[in-house]
Amino acid sequence: MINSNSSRPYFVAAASIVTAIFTWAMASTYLIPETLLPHPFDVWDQAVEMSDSGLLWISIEASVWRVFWGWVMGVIAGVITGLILGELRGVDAVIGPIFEFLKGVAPISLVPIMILWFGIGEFPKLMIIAYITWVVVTVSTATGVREVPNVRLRAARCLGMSQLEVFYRVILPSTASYVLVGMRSGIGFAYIALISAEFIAVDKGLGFLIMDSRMNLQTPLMIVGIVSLGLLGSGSQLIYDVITLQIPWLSRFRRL
Amino acid sequence: MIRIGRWGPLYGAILFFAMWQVGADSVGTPLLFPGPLVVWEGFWRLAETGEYFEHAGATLQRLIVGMAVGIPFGATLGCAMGASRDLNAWFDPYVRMANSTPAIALIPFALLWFGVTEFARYSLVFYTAFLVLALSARQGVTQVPYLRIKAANTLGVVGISAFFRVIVPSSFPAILSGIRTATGLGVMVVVAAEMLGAANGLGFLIILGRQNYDPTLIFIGIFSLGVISLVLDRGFQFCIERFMPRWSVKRRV
Repeated sequence: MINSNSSRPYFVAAASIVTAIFTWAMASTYLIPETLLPHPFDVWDQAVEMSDSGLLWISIEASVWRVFWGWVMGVIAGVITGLILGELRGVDAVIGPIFEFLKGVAPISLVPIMILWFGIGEFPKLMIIAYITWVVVTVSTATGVREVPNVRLRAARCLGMSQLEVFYRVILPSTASYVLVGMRSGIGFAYIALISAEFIAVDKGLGFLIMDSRMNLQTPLMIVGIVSLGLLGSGSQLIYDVITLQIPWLSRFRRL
Repeated sequence: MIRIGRWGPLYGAILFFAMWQVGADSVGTPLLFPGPLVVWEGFWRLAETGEYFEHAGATLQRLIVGMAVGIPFGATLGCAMGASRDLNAWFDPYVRMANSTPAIALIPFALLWFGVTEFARYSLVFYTAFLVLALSARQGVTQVPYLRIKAANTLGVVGISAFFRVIVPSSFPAILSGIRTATGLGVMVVVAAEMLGAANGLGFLIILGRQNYDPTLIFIGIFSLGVISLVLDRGFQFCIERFMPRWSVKRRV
């Protein structure tokens, strides 16, 4: 019975999913109008049809492009500001609180002003995604620098390292794990920003697909959009995990 | 070295407003980029008629109602999932799925189901709080030191009473930090929901500013959001340190 015990969670999970899909099918057939809750098969047909017509892939491509470049810009900017904030106590005391404030400003609230300033091209969307990633990565990088153990700094100085050497050989490696964690949670926030931007102003992408389907009351389309967005989000984090864990000089920093 | 430690945030605020003013001056048109003085004037006009407080109050109310319902339900599910492997296996697929789907993506769905109603907004905040709390409570329960449970067992506290007297209190710091996370995400969701369908609230104020080409309103909205989340976050932390030092996360160090 020991072996069956280890596979038991999978059986329970499978039973749970089957029950859920069955309940969904029953509810949509007998209880809830189809415009509110379409039948699971209808949703599946919709997904297949969209995949065949290419609409799904065009939307995914547009969204992934935005998220990726926005995120990359945000990470680069965030690491730089984070290092500055963490290293220079005086700057941190003055600028740090501004970042605490910015963290609370939802990316979606910036969409209208970005549209006003930069129009409805790709640039404002990238800016919004980069903005929230920047804030998240900055905060975690600065925390990492601040929490470098004092023992390490003293040891480095005892061994006669110069200020610059301490920065490269002690502070950067000690901070790396915080940066990696910040980058990972930045992915989640980048997707939130992506949907926010695509809901309000865009011509293609998954967010647009979801919003558009609401106008036309195409609920299966909406569900396909939401599910692909979820899969894309968790897929991105999975890819990030695989990459950072596979590269040897990065994986040793994934302790947090 | 100048000693700035204590007054840092004040200098920060001065710097922030100064940069804002300089930026606005260099752009030159308040119709594109209003400076802090213009925004303050606009805020004063809104505050005088009480309109501002109506919007801010509506946002806060939505946040508080959704959180107040979502937190206990989410924490209960999370504790149950942490304690029972079968329950965990049963609910885990949905928690994973929901966790990778941002609540903002569900706004059109909520509006479809519940219409443009107060209930739709409550349900979105509820969803966010429920999910975050389920995850953090589960993590808290599974990370209770094994030694502590063993010790309780030795002292005769077993089974269900060990669950309530040892495991739940031990997971409290995780639950509290979950509430903090949920508050931050909750603000984002409320605003998004208000921007996509509401007749009041700070998110509506921002959309109104966009429709009327009045960036002052947008800036009032953005600024209020930052202030509200900062105050809620700091206030919550302060309450823990002051009234429940036992559960303070800082004690971990």
